[in-house]
Amino acid sequence: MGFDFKLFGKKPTSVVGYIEWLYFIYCITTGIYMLDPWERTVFNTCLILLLSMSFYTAYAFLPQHIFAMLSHFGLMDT
Amino acid sequence: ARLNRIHSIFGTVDGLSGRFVSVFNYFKSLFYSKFMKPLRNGNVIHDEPPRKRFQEDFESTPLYIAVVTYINYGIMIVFGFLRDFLRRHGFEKTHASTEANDMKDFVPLYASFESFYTRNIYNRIQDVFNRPICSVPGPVIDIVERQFSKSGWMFKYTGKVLKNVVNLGSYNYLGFAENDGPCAEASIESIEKYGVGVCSSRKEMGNLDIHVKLEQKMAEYLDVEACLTFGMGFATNSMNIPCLVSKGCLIISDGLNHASLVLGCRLSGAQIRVFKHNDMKDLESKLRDAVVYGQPRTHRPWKKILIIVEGVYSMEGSIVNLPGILELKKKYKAYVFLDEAHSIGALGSRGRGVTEYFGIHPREVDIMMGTFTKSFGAAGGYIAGSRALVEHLRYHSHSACYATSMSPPVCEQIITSLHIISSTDEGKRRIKQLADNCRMFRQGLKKLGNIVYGNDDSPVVPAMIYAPTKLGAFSREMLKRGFGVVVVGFPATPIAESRVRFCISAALTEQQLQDALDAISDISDLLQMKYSKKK
Repeated sequence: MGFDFKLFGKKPTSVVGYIEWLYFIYCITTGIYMLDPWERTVFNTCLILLLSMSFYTAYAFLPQHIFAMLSHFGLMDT
Repeated sequence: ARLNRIHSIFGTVDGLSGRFVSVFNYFKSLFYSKFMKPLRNGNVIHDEPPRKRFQEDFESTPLYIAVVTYINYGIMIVFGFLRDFLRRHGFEKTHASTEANDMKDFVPLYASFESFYTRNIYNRIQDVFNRPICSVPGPVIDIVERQFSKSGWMFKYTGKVLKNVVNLGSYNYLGFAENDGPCAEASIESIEKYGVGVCSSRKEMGNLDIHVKLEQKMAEYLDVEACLTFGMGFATNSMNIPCLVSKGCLIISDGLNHASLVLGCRLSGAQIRVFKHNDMKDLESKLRDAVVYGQPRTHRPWKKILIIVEGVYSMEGSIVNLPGILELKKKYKAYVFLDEAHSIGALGSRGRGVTEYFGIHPREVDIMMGTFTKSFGAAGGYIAGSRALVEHLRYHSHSACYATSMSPPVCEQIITSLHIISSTDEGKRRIKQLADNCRMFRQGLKKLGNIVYGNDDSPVVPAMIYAPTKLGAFSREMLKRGFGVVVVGFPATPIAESRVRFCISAALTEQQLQDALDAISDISDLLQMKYSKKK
């Protein structure tokens, strides 16, 4: 009918259907269900970039931060 | 000191401390009651006992769905700004209305939030609003299919018609929207006698005998002294409130009144104060302030105080607390204007409206207004009350003077449906069917776990959706399953409280309602709409 999400009818029970339904609920909750496909791509790209940068930062710097915090509070020898 | 002054005149709100009773008024009422007998139409006995105070349901919004709704609106607004930026600088073609090129330096016309909202949020789910139908709006309808493109800015008709979609959105409470049957045949005969157009206003040559007959029958049906009918329901409110109140008067209206009442109040020039929806304490405090303090700067007493309420509120599905309002009206000597647009024909054991539902005599309400659009399957409105009121409106109403009077086939439809409702078994069956359908549908919807607002007996059932994305998804999924529903969002409702409003009809069978409940259950599971904590 002019928009590109398929109409489910009812909650799907198969595995593939369940994953499609999870993406559908993600789109509904964040509001990108109402946007154009290219806007959805922009939003998803920004979100994935943000999340991947956060995870990389956590992976690279979190041990140092935890070590510094613990030694500041005197729970570990420096 | 201010409170003491109010308490000395009226007594405290609980009525326990000493009050001053006017001795003069008591003797006056004794003296006059022998000489003034009110005119009666019909011998209707009101023997239904007054109901106990009712409980209405307005479950509060769960926190997580409020957060989701605001996130939705936030993302939509961000992308709305992006699209507006692209449109303004020419990267994208503009389909919305904009100012003309030489007016671009003037004060902007399309920068308000309503305009932004319409362009960027409303337009994206436009395929769920304004669906064109091509059949009579009975229990099943045919919807013309449209294909939308360019995120809602363009559509074209595919040529297909979706047939037999179950109609859960029309105001067809008693099922009189039909194209065959006694009402339709009587309307056809009246066209053969009078034609379709009246070609004049009521005061000039447009006062037909069928109008007089309709008004007499309506006055008998409502058990009031007289009635006056108009061609359009919205115009009945907006054009007649200015005739009843004017500049030195006070209007106290409910917060959720319809746009026609608000427009009429504003046009009248009277001072308007708003009380919280169905809240008698708020109304009482506003009445007390009005009576004691009078007009704003001069403190002269108000010429009139008019309380405007509706019988059934169409967005909430709640019923007015009429016994409470009449108690306050008698205590503070105000007038009551009751707009029974949705409740006439739909409430009460004989379909006489909200006064019969509460067991109150209609003589106690000063001005009763209603429309013929909802339960009678026609168009137009009426105002009923005492003969003095109706004669005043007949000469002073803008609608009577300037607007064309009601078309004869419409009048005939109303007369026939009135006859069916009040005197035949078919009418009784329809009223009972509507009450059964309402109860069954509302209980069913509550059991599913949706949040449903309003009173248990009202024929309007709003179920909450809250998030705008779910609004669009719900309506599309229901249409795919073969049910046509009406979803409402901003600006008809508060921005975070969008809902789907089901209007129950006596023409819907129990099987259709059960199928509808099954479809709603499936789709509520799909969209995670079952928010209610009481189960």
